[in-house]
This record gives sequence, C-alpha cells and structure tokens, in this order.
Amino acid sequence: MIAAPVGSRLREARKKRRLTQTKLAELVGISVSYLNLIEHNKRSIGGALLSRLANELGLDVSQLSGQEDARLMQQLGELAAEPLIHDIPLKEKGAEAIVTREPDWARAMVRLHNVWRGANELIEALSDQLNRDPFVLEASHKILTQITAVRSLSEVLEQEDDLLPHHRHRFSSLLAEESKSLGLSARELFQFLSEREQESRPATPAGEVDDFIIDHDNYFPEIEEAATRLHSRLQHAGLIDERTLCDHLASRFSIRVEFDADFRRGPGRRPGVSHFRFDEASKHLVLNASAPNSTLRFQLARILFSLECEELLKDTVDEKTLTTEDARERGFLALARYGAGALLLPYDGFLEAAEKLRYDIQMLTVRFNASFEQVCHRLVTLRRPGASAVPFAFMRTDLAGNTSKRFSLPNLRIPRHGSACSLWAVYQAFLTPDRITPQIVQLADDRRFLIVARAITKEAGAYSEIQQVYSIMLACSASYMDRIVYGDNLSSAVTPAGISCRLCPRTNCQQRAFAQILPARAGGEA
Amino acid sequence: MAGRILIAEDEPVIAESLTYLLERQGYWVEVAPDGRIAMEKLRGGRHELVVLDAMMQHFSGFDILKMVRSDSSLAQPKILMLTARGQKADRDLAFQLGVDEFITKPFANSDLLEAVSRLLDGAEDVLDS
Repeated sequence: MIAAPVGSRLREARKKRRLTQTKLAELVGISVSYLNLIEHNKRSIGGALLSRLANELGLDVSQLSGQEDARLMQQLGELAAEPLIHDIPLKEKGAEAIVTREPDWARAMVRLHNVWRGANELIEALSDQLNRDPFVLEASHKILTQITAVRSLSEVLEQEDDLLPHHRHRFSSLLAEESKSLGLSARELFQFLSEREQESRPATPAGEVDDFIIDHDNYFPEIEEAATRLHSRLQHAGLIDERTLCDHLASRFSIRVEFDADFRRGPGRRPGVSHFRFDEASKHLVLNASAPNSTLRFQLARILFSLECEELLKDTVDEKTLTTEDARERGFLALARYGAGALLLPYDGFLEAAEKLRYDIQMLTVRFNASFEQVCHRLVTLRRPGASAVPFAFMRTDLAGNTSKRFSLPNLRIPRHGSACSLWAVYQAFLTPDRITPQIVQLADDRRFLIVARAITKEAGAYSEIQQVYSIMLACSASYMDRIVYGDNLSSAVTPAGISCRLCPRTNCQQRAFAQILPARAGGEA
Repeated sequence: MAGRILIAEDEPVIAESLTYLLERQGYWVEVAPDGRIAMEKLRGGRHELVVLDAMMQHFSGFDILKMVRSDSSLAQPKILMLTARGQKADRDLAFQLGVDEFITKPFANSDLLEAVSRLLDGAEDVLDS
C-alpha cells in the first residue's frame, strides 16, 4: 500500500490556485514554516487542520487524506490480478505512480475494469442459463411429446373411419387442447431463445476445464480402462497402499520417494499449497509425512498415473474446448486426478460397495481408506452407460463462498460464477463442521433435489500453517432418495430454494442477496 | 389376436391414444403413468409387451429396462421403448440393456402398431391382417 503523499498534493493544489505559502498559512492559521514542513511531507496532519486546508484549496478531504489513493490502489491491484493479463508484469510501483501523478487515468481504468467485470458476470449468467439449460432441454422434450400426441390423435381421427361419436368428440377436444398447449410451448421456447444475445465460452482456463469435463459427462472410459490395467499390473487384490505405489515408482521410473516429517508446504503449481515436491532431474519425490494417509496415497497414485499414462492423458486433453496451453495443462492435471481416483477406487468394486452401502459416504471412506472428498469425487464419475451410479452433482466451496470445484447435472447447474443459493446445505454445513448435513431443496419450478454436504478441515501439519476449510456437496434428483441412506426420514423437511440469486425467481426470499438478472419465466428457474 | 400390453407413459394424451389404438387391435392394455407404478404393475402381472417411455418420473425407461432384464423372477416381456431423445448413444444403450424395439417420437401410429405386431404376433403388417 502506498503512503499518502498529502504534502505534495497540498503543494500542487496551492500552486494551481496561485496562492503563496504565506497566504495559505494565514488563511488556515498556522505558521509558514510549519506549512513548509507539511508540504514537504515532513509532518503528518489530519483532523481539523486537514479539513481547513482542503477547504481553502477546494479539495475533498478523502483526496488529501490518502483514502481515495488507497482505494484506487486496491482496485488497480484487482485489475492486475485478472488472469487475462497475467503475462504482463505489472508492478505495484507503477500503480503508485499512476495513482499519485495521474489519478484520473487510474479512475478511468478502474471504472472500465468494473464495467468489464460486470459485463463478464452477465455473460457468465446468460451462458449458465443457456448452456445445457434445463429449461431448453425440458421445453424441447415437452414439445416433441406434444407433437407426438397431436400426430397420434390426428391420425386416429383421419384414419379410423368407424370411430364412435363419443370417441371422435373426445379425441377432437384432446387434439384442440394439445395443439393449443403445443403453440404455447413453442412460443415460450422461441421467446427464451430470442432473449439470447450472446453465447460465450468460459473466460478462464479453469472454466474451460469445467466445460471439458461436463462435456464428457465426467466419465472417461479410456482412463478407466487404463486404470484397470494398471491396477492389475500392480498385482494387488485389495486396496493399493503407499508401499506398492512407491515400489512401482522406484522400479519402473527410478523415482526415489522420501517422506519428510519437517516438510514445509510451498505454493503449488496451481492456487493452494502442495504436499509434495518433485525434482524431475534427480527423480526425487519428497512428500509431506504429516499429510493424511489418504492424501499421500492419492498424490502417489496421481504421479504414477501421470507417468504411466502420459500419452493417453495428452491425447484426451487435445480438444478444441481447451483453447490455451494453460487450460490443457489444467485439463491434464484434472485427468491425472481422475486416473488416480479410478486406480484407488476401482469402478466395479466401488460401485458395488456404494450401492450396497446405500451411498453412505462415511462407510465408503473407511472401506476404501479414502477421504470424504475423494469418495464424493469418485461417486460423481461413476457414469458408465449401463452400469452407472446415481447421477450426482458436486461442489466444493470455502468459507468465503468461492467455488473451487464443481460438476453440474443437466437439470442442476452449479453456477459458474459467484455463489450458489445460500440456503443450500453446502453453506449450512459450515455451522456443523465434520457432520453430514442432508437436505431436500425444492426449486421454484417444483423440482426437488437431495443435497448432502459436509464441512471438512484439511490437516494443517505445522502449527504455523493455515488449516484449509471446505464444504463438499453432492446433490441428486430427489427421485433417487430411496436408494440413498441420507434420504431416510427426510421427506417432511423441504427447503424452498433456487440455483443462485441472479437466476432465481423467488422474489420474496429473505436470503436474497442480489436481484434476478432476467425476468421470471413460466415453467422453470429463470 | 391377444396379448397383454403395459403402456408406461407419463403423457396422458399419448397413453390414451395408444390405448385406443391397441385395444382396437384386440390387445389387453393397461397404463402406468410413471416409472414406479410401471414396476409395480410389472411385478404384479404377466405382460407380454411393455411400451416404455424413456423419460418418466421416479424411474426412467432405462432404469426399468435394466431392472426387468436383471430380475429373473420377472416374466421377461418384450420391450418397445419410446423416446423423444433419438441420439445414437441412447439407442445403443437401450439395445445393450435388452430392448427389443426402439422408436423415436414423434412416430406414426402405423409404425407403432407394426412394431407391436412384429413383437407379439410375428406379423409384418397388422393393418392388412
């Protein structure tokens, strides 16, 4: 943060007004020498004297006190943090120079940035609404169904010559009703589509990776097959332990693994901290010995899978949806994590256990020696056609409401930008850490979803390290409730909720934080 | 002509129209308006054919198909699936799960009746019979 150059500002303003130091000192009732010290930043001032000086020079106190400078610096800092310009080396000193010498330029940049950010949010919201929009899918299905009914009735009326009068009357009136209803559905869909002004791809590499995974329905058969092959190569009947993974890294890739009890976590390649360091030149892998066993096992599996299946992972991310090198790198890491999950929690055995235990996540963590988050993540990937689990949406959020992982369902879109509905259990779970919070939410269009959430604290290791706190959520259509242990005894407690404020038409919601972006639309979440 | 047919379809107008058409052909027809009721009826009766809508409440047509084909205690009826989603992946999945016929909405009544006839009677064209 820059120090507010109050004296320099005063001197500049006095000269602009063609006042002498003597005159200004006289006007505000101080000595000339004292004013001189102030103007050369050798005396700090504030309160009444600052107000008098500002008043005589026709300035706002906030301009002199440094408050506005500090605000502008903060806003320029936010601008500099935009991923879009991450390759431009913007230094804080440059921002200080602009704020001090050309504050109007700074204000113009900040204003443009705010407008740009608002426009992006709007585009994201519209894109969220349109891409795999449940309304479009449902409306299309409804229209096709209505056309089927109309066609069938018309053919009966046309082709059945000996139709009895009461049948003819019944089918005629049904046809009229269905035709009218079809017209309304088509008009509704047309209106929705005509509201579409712009279709956008996600603005960030992380958003591209999200879309890439969603496009594949979070199921990658080639990676599942590779994981199955690797699992059998490790010749392990039960769970794969750390020792097996370390041995394989050593024997196949000559990697020496060390567990360091004094490991100090540094920044990872992505936001957050890492529990390991890997020096490719010396083939030396150092792991944080104080990290949870499930984390270590997963990291080892991820590294092993990346090395074993590098070509497969590269081929899989080589898609048009991942448009930048950064996005492809993130995609590679996401798939390597997928592979690790598939290796440690093998598809068939894990699905069988999940069904048998009625998706009791706690029991699955014990059975597979995995973390809560790893189990939830794996459940979401069980989408093999013909052998799929209950389809779940997934979300991970922190205390500030930042969503760091998400996977949507076609009919339950986790917002790409900003928070989801604050009534969801994923947020409520922070109030009861480490306890599972089940919930049924009902959206404005009456669709119901079962939500299961739990706030988790990741082991910090050393005392000085910050504990990471997240809330993890799975959600599925309430029609699957009877297959899931968390659905028991829940049917009477339903929370009326939305997707997010800006997409929700519930105008009377007491938790509403923002206005709805688009007007309410009949038949679904706006 | 005989045959017990279950129509599992949540759109009542389509169900009514199909019921009329199939009853006119001499079939015995009952209707299930959602997936759960369809399963109850399948467990309770011996149907020779199910006209199964793919998208329904409680259980989808695919869920029902899978449950029926994996439950040896159930009589194994012929299954004709109706769907508004005509993607190849859906068709492949349906056949993989053991469907006998797959018709995309909207369809002509004659196509549906021919398919039913093929499955139940082995005839090629019921309208001429």
